Amino acid sequence: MFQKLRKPFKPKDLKQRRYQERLSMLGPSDLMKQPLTDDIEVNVGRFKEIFGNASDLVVREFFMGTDNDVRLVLFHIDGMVDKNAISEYILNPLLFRTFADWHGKILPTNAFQLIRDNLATASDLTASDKMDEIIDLVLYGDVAVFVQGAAQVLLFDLKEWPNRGVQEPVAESLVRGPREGFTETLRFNTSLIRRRIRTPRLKFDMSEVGLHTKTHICVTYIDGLVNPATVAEIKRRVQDIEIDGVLESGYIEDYIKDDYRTPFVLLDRTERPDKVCAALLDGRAAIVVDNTPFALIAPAVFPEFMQSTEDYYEGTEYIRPFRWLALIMTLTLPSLYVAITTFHQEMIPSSLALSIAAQREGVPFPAVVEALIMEVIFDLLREGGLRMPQPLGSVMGIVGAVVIGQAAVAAGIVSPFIVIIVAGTAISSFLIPNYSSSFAIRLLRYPMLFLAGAFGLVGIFLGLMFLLLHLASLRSFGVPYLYPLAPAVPGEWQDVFIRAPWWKMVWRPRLFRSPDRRRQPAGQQPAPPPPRAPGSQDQSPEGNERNEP
Amino acid sequence: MSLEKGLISTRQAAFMITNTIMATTVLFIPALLARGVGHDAWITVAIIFILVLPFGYAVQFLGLRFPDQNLVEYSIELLGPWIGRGVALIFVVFFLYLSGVVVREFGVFLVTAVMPSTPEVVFNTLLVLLAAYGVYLGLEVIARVTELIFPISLAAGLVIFLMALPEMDFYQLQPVMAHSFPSILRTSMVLLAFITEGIVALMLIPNMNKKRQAALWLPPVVSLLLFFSLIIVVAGAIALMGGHETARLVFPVYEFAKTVHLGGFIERIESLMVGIWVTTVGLKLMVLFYGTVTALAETCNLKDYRPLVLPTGVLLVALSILIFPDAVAIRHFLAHTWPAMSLTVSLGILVLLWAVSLVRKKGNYRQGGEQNERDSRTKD
Repeated sequence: MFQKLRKPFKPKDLKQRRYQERLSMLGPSDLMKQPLTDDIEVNVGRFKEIFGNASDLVVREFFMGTDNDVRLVLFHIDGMVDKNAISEYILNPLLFRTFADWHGKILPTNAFQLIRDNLATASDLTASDKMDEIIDLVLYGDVAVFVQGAAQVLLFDLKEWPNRGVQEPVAESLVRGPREGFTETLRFNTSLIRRRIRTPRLKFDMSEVGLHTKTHICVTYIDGLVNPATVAEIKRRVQDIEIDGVLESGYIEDYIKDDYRTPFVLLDRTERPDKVCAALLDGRAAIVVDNTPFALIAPAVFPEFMQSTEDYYEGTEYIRPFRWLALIMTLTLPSLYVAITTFHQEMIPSSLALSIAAQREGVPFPAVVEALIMEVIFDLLREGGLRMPQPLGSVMGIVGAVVIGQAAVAAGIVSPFIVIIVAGTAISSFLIPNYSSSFAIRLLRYPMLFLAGAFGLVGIFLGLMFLLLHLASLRSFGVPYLYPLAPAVPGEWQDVFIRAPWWKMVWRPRLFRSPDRRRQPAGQQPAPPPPRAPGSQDQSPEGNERNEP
Repeated sequence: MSLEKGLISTRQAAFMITNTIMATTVLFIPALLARGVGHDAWITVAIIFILVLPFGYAVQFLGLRFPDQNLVEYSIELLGPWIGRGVALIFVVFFLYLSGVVVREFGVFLVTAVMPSTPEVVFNTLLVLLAAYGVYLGLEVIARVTELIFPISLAAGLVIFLMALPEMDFYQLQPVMAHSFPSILRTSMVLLAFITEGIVALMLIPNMNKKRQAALWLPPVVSLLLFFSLIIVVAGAIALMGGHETARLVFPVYEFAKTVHLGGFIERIESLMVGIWVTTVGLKLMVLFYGTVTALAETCNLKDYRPLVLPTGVLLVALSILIFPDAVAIRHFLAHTWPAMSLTVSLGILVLLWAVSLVRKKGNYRQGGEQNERDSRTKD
């Protein structure tokens, strides 16, 4: 009975209300909410008041008509619009054409409509009567034109700002394949995707995240190929984000990934439009974030981090088993060295065991400390080399080679054998195509090292089991992380250890739950033309040619 | 079912059950059988597998009479809240004890064969930690890892066998039936006791997504996998070392790996053996551990079994050390005490529940389970 008196807030409503409250504290929102009036002075006054005296706000007042009949005020943010285009598409037609042809016809009552319908020569032109919308668009690079006598404002899309241009992606280089990479501008990125998938079913669903940055987030998918539940879930997670600023897709990733307590990446990220398109065709969705060239792909599964985009273009199928080998080597090579030299000397051929023992004779540390020192130094060098200014990078290489390769051995701190081990581990770790995944694996080297130092091979296998259990427990938007290895779907291993030819990969991955699972018709295996029946030689001209000796 | 919402596929269930039976059996059974009947040990394997198929079907169909309930739930339904819980507790203790034995076997093997100077309790603790982590993550995760690891272990075992093949002399299996049939039959009970550990499947059946379709072919598949593995292991051990030597050794299969000399550089591949041992026994303990805690949670009407994982784990480590004074006692226990214990509990309770369900006309494998199977189409 009492419960009926008070309507409880849903947590979501509360959250929304709190957000609105914060919004209202952050600016002259009452000004932004008021409707536009007929009086241009009031409108312009409000607009200026909202911006204060922002130094990058350009204001240009001018008049139309022979007797300065209509007053116009143009606003835009300096540096975000094409100023030549403003002259050409706005000022030029409005100022000059009105003298000659429209003498006396332009009045405050019809000016707005005339400009919109007859005079302005820009292609992308909208009108708005909401102050907050106008502010948003001006801040995004639109040109706002206030017209005397109209309760509406014209908005010209003449965005142009300094950008890097489409360049080759740095982190994912390949020998064969398109060299275009995403840029920092969302629109360019979506156009790079659109150019590859020319179907109206390709959707870009936009939303804004970030209280101050108002960053555009674009959920991309192909309608009819993607599982609608996945898209709905992605959108739900994106819309629930409450953050003051988004500067990179990593911000979004942290908010939407399924489990934060894991070093593994649960969302793939890429700079390559072709990779995004391949994911879309798999029945997955991508999240393109403004101001960063890195798009996110969801759901992601672990085996795909052993795949390079190039695998699908060039016949490099045989390289994939090496990547899996490299994965295991990165994880276990140092710990195997420690385990074998510490506990299981009998497992290596005796001549090798003797030479290792001889090398290690002067080394003051146990194998686990020796390996630890070298691995830490390697990680320090790698990170140092990565962050260093370009010209100093080569110095780093020399320091690394001399210090590790020569001096440490000569000084008797480590044995030459561990140098080989660390180098092998380093090379292996570079084979893992996905940068962030190789980070996770490299991190897990250290616990493995400790386990091996304490419990030998038993420790290594126990560590691997812990790792497998952890991986098997992860999910990315409902898809088990080790799919299609565990749960095992042997029919889909054609894209795991080696890549089958395209005509053989007839189905999209099952657990992505695409409504349209069939990729292409089966039975397109290339084959020589069927042998002709003995009597039918004369019937085809091609056949005659081929029969000639 | 009410505790665990996860669903496992038929293949995962088959691998889990096979692995649960096989993991420790492979290592311990050749010596135990050879002690009884020498080089005729392989015959006991053949005999047992005539009995295993009916046992497998009995477990499967008892499970299918109550497709959405696990062992504890229907023993309460059949025998009433008090007696039913009593029977369930017997099972809990049985699983717990078995888990303790498995943990101890794990430690004993590693200390004896691989790392003699490490205290056994260290390995026991590590294994229990691993299993506890697996159980904590849930049935689906255990099933997925089993699905990945078990075939690899099987293949690795086969590779070891094939590499040891040049050293084997299969004439050592002759003369056939040198021992009297009753003594062979008596020895085979030791093996049967290992196999009836598969009763833990009753805790997994409610979570299988296609149990009805699996009903006919799951028991034969498990039996055949077990049969071929065990006959290879037992016959191989005898062919390699002869009946007497096999009986004398503690871990004859380990000798397989030690004898491998191939091409002058592939030798001493015991590490592979250690890998198989750690992974398969880890997974076996996860299943048994899972059976223990879910049965206990179900008996006590808990909503979640996870709070029981850590205390049970601590109990297991202590138990594993306390139950046997030394490695010799394990062999004695496995040869003489375990058959009586395992056969009484698993077969006895299996027969009891069957009988009561028939008499009280409860449970019908044609009813129920539809809901579950409808889910299975959208779920893996």
